[in-house]
Amino acid sequence: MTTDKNKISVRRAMLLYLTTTFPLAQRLIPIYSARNGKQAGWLSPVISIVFLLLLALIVDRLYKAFDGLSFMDIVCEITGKAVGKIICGIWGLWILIELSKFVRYFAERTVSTIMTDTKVDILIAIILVTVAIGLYSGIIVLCRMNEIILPITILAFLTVALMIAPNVKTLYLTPISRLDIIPALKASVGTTGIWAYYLVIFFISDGFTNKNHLKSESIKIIFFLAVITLMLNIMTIGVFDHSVVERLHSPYMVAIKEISVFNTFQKSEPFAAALWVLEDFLLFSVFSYAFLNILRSLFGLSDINFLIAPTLIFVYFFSLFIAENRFEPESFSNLIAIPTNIILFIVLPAILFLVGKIQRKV
Amino acid sequence: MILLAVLIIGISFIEIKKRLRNWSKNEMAVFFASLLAAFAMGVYYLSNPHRSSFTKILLSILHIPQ
Repeated sequence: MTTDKNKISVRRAMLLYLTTTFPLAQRLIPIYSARNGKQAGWLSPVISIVFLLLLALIVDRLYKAFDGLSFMDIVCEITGKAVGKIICGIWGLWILIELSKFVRYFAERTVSTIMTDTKVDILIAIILVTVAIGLYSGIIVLCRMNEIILPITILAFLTVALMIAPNVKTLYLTPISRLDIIPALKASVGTTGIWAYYLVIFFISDGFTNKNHLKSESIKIIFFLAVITLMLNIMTIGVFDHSVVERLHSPYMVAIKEISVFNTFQKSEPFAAALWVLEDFLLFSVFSYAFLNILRSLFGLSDINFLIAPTLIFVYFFSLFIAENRFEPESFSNLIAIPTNIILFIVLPAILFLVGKIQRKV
Repeated sequence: MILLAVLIIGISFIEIKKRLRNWSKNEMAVFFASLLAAFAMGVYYLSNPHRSSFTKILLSILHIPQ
């Protein structure tokens, strides 16, 4: 599957994308969709899929036009070295900020759900040490871990969906009319903003093996992601109604708490929380790797292992500084991160593509 | 703060010992710059952990009500 030390297959990259997006989708999309789309919020993936497919096609065209180059090199080829490095630097900085926010999210959620007596800084330190060990092992090992964790996660999600299905009330999801187009569009902003992390995957590797399959693999994963996000929205908005979901801190976890099979199988949330820890571990590893790889590209480094410890120490303190309480990461996500993600990870590549087109390079 | 300083010195010592011979000047500069950034962030946070958060500062700069 892999021919070079720093190269991974497109399929593995797309599976990593799914694993990194899934916990974020569980955490943020139902709340954003319910708040902005009301009872039509569950339709947000139907609109967002258009933008993600466009992004996937743009990235595919760029890789085909500049064969053998990494994504950072492609950007430098289109814009020139200086501007390209500035753009990559902005992406790197934003990925570092987002990583710190996710780490804080993880700690706050764990404290509020399963480890109520634990201090946030201790949890952050533990997960970052684990991430450091994973990063020292290299991207290939992380990909292999993902191939084990992802099927378990998907299986658990489908099982939960099956168990929650009887609690879904169509009354909370309907009626849908043409008047719901605008609310659904508003709701799709959040979904698009989360899915936009698709681009981050292209920073984790110097290149991909079997790049010819990039378009087909991307389309498959995007459709799969759309289906599970749609299910996620239905499982939350359909069970609690949008007015409740928009006020909940973690609607998916609350929905899991509602599960009761014949009054015997109950309280399955610790299992879901344990899976979240695994997913978060991969999320942090992927974002750290993306940031370190951008540093490698910017400064022409031959290795990134010596930057793992300083980067994670920075992330530790920045994740403590980024928010004072558990509500602030959510405000940061809704008010700043989602619009910035759309600008940096969807609009900017589209502009780069247009510039490349004008220059007749793409 | 002392623990942070010990950690930074420890990491520097380990990495320098491991890579001194095959490190380019560029890589050494990036390593020490990143260590300095991590140390500065640590000192900034530890000097007053109850200061306004990054989110609060950013939202007030952008005039976005929470």
